[in-house]
Amino acid sequence: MHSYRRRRLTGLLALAPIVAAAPALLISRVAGAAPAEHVLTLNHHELSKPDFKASVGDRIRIVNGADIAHSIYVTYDDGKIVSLDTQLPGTEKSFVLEAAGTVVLRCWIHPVIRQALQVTPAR
Amino acid sequence: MSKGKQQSGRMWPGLILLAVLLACVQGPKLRNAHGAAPDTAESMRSLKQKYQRPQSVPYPAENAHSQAKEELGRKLFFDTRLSRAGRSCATCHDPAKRWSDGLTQPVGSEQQEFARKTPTLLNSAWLSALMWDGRASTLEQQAVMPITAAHEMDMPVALLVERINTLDDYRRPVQRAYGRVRHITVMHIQQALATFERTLVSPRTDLDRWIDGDAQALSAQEQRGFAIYNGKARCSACHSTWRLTDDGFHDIGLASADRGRGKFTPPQVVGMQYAFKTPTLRELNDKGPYMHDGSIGSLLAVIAHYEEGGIDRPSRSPEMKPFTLTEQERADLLAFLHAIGRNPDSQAVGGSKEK
Repeated sequence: MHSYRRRRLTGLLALAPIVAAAPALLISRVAGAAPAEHVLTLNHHELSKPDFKASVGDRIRIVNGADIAHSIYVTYDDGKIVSLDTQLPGTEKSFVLEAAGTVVLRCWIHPVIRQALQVTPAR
Repeated sequence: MSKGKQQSGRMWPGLILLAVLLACVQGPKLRNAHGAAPDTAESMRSLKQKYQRPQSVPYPAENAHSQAKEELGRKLFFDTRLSRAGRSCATCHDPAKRWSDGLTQPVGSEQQEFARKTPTLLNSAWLSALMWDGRASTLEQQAVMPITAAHEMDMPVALLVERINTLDDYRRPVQRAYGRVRHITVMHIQQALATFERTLVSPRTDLDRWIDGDAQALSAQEQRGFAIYNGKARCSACHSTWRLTDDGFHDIGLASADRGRGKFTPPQVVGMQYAFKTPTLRELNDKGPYMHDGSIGSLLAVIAHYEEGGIDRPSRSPEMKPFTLTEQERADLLAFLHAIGRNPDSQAVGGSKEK
């Protein structure tokens, strides 16, 4: 009897993590996958081409791999502009994608830098 | 000696050794990161590649080059009938003066002085932003700005189009460029002027010859100046590529009330306040004056300005880092700057074709 109880308790304990994770799994199924992070690199007068699919809510990290400062700003389809401020060599800035559509990244200092992201609605 | 002192005494040599080791490991990386002078033949070769001229002139797909369009643009460029002030584009962009005006302060239609110097038109085909404050992003967009500006050529767009359409000598050139159009539009004028301007390219200089492998084209002192330009003085942080400009906007700490690019950017973008487009150094003349406002009279004074770093204010470019050159380094850099425009035997493309 005693060993039966112990086996049952052990079985319940083994199930505990699954039971605990169930609400979180359920929420993620309803709310969509967790936002992703993507990296773009500045190399002198170029911003690397995106090799990822971006969605609203994703974080874009801009790494300045150049030996000069940059100042990236983001323009959404509706004209909203988000400036990331001056970015010194070797530093990183990031922003979260706020809206779907074509999001254009440019540099206030160097107009030649231009990169577009196609952003899909949140996952 | 107390025990603590004995211990710290033993620690110091170790710390110094560690610092030396770190410096050895980090040193080359740091020097490269800050664009120090190249120390090997390979790094010099790769540095010189950054200054190599392109093989051809870029024309946008939406305004492809044609000889007829270029000819029409040339005719428009030198025509004073496009102005109510008896001026043409060539009044300020004179082919004999490196497609600028050679003046300390440009003069407007009513002899008023302008606060900004007249930039050269050479190498316009490669520009990603035009005007000192970048308010035009294509040559087509820029082409009619001086024509319509009241203080320059003073010809409103409607009047410009009306006048061109009454001039018989434009009918054939326009038809050659655009086919049987009934009415010449402002778009035709913009495209033709932009096409002509794209043909204006800097002549090959001794610097180009040296970059291409002629070791004798620059003297030893000028070559040392090139190393300083790319190294200690960091001129190349902004005056980069074969055109010696990044087409970027920087506040270089000059005393001026002109906010430049800052007039067209959100006020919170602090770095654009007092920022002006980096001018090309290819057409650098020996006489000056220099800077966008002609405020510095000699190249030595320009070097001194960069050594001191200009006015320290929030908008000042992070590239403006004060430094100190030795007398010899200053002389070497000056020699290189003088050599940039040295062009003993050729003419600017397009410069000999004006009518």
